[in-house]
Amino acid sequence: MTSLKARNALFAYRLLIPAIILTFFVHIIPTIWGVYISFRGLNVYYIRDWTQAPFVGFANYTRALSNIQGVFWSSLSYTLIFVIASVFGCFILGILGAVLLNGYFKGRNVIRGVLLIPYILPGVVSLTNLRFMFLQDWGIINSILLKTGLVSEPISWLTGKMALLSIIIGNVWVRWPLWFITILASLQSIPGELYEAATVDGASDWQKFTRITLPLISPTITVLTVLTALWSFNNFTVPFILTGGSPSKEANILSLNIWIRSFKNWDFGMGAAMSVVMMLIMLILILAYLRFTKLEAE
Amino acid sequence: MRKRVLKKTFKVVGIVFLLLFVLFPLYWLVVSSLKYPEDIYTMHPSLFPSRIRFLNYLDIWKAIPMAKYYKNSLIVSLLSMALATVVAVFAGYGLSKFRFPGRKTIGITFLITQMFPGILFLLPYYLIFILIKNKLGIPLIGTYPGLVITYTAFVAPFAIWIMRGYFDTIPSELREVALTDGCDNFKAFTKIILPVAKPGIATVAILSFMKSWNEVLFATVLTNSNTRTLPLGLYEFQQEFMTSWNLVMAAGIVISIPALIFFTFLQRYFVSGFTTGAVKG
Repeated sequence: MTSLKARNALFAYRLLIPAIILTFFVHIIPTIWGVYISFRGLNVYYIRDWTQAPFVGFANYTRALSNIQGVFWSSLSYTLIFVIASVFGCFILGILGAVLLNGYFKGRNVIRGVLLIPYILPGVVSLTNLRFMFLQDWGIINSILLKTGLVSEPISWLTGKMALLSIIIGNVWVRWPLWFITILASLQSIPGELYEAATVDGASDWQKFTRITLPLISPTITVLTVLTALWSFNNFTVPFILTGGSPSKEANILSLNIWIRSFKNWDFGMGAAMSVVMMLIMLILILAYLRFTKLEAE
Repeated sequence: MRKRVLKKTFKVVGIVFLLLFVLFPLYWLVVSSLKYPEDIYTMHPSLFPSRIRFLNYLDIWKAIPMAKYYKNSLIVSLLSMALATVVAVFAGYGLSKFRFPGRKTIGITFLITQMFPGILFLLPYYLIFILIKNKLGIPLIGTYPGLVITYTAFVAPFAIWIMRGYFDTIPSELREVALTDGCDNFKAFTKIILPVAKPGIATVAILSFMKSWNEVLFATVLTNSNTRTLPLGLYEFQQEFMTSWNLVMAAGIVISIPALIFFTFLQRYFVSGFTTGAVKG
């Protein structure tokens, strides 16, 4: 019997070898390498042969985290606003869409398909289009706002403080259909008898929603929240495309900030130090999440 | 009675709001792709243009090397999709249906790598690729292999996660019956389990393809003018001095076609596969 067990384990290892090799060479080694780079004074002068770059101790970290040179803390706080507002926006729209499309009516499937389009459309296309709509001079949004008299001066959506709002809208526009379709699937798995029983007991619609619907879909919401928070925290594409690669400080969220630091200013040492700090923050959040949900891949 | 009317009104208003939120930008994308340049550069662009210009869709192939970008994106996305799907199907099955030492650690490692930001890896990749070129003479920056390896690795953890969740929904008895019928592990996997897992595999394949097709971050650094992929091509086109927005929009629609086709064909699989795989995961 033990030989069967051993044979099974051997088979499982064989199945996992490609994934393990890939993870090792393309995730683990580069991560260690990134930490190693963060201790070197690697800038544009050493790019040809970067192994010559001197060790500088924690200099990159002090530069990144100091208030004088580093914009790390402001970037981190805007990133957190971006994450929280995005999750909130997706939550509201996702629940709204799912509840509205849960019952059957004519045209429901068509509407469902239409609402999913932003999820299917390549993100870069959606975001380029939103950038076009947000343009100060030729954008349709300003045109509509001016025509209807809601504003008297064109708003500059893609610069300054407004850019933060624009990247949140862009992020929500791209992501909310996933919430909508997943919550809808979860709603449809709730047995109808529950609602019937509640109706017999005289519950109002709102009570049914808060007492039956919300508790039953909350596991789905938790997963969606975690995924959306992670993807938004790591996001590069949304602010990069919407601001055309030159964000105001409000839209300069972490990934883009590190990218600019590294590949525009060619200050790899500081970029690496910032990524390491970002990774540590992620790690803390992930461990808290794993502990919290006990999703320990049993 | 009044309550029912109120409820209905809420429903209609809500649906109209969501439809406008989604459809208006899409409408604007399509309409702008058919406009004359003069109708774009105006303070108040018209919502219903009086003339349309289908030639935009021909012009984009001359304005930027679309055909080359298309070829690059197809090569890179299809290869990454194939590799990531194979890796994910194997690993997902191993993690889902077997108990062995180290299973938990491996599972958590995959889960965590999926959560790290791409930017964290981009910097080391860039420098390691330079090192490999200097020491071994193998160019990876600006080549297909460099991109495909990166994309595969970048997509694989998520794909493994979904695949594993999908295999969890397939009863273990299926494999046990196959084994008692004289199949070995490999045969039970390829002959019995894989056909049942088709929806999950389709989901993972589409997701992998779309992720590579849409990828921007790695492409900014790891492609050059010869291997430029579509998303970055579109970005650069849009960044040009005096952007022709009508052409940018037309290019955007042309870029979207493969994703739309893919999705339409496999939508049925996709929705069920994603919800069982990702949400239960």
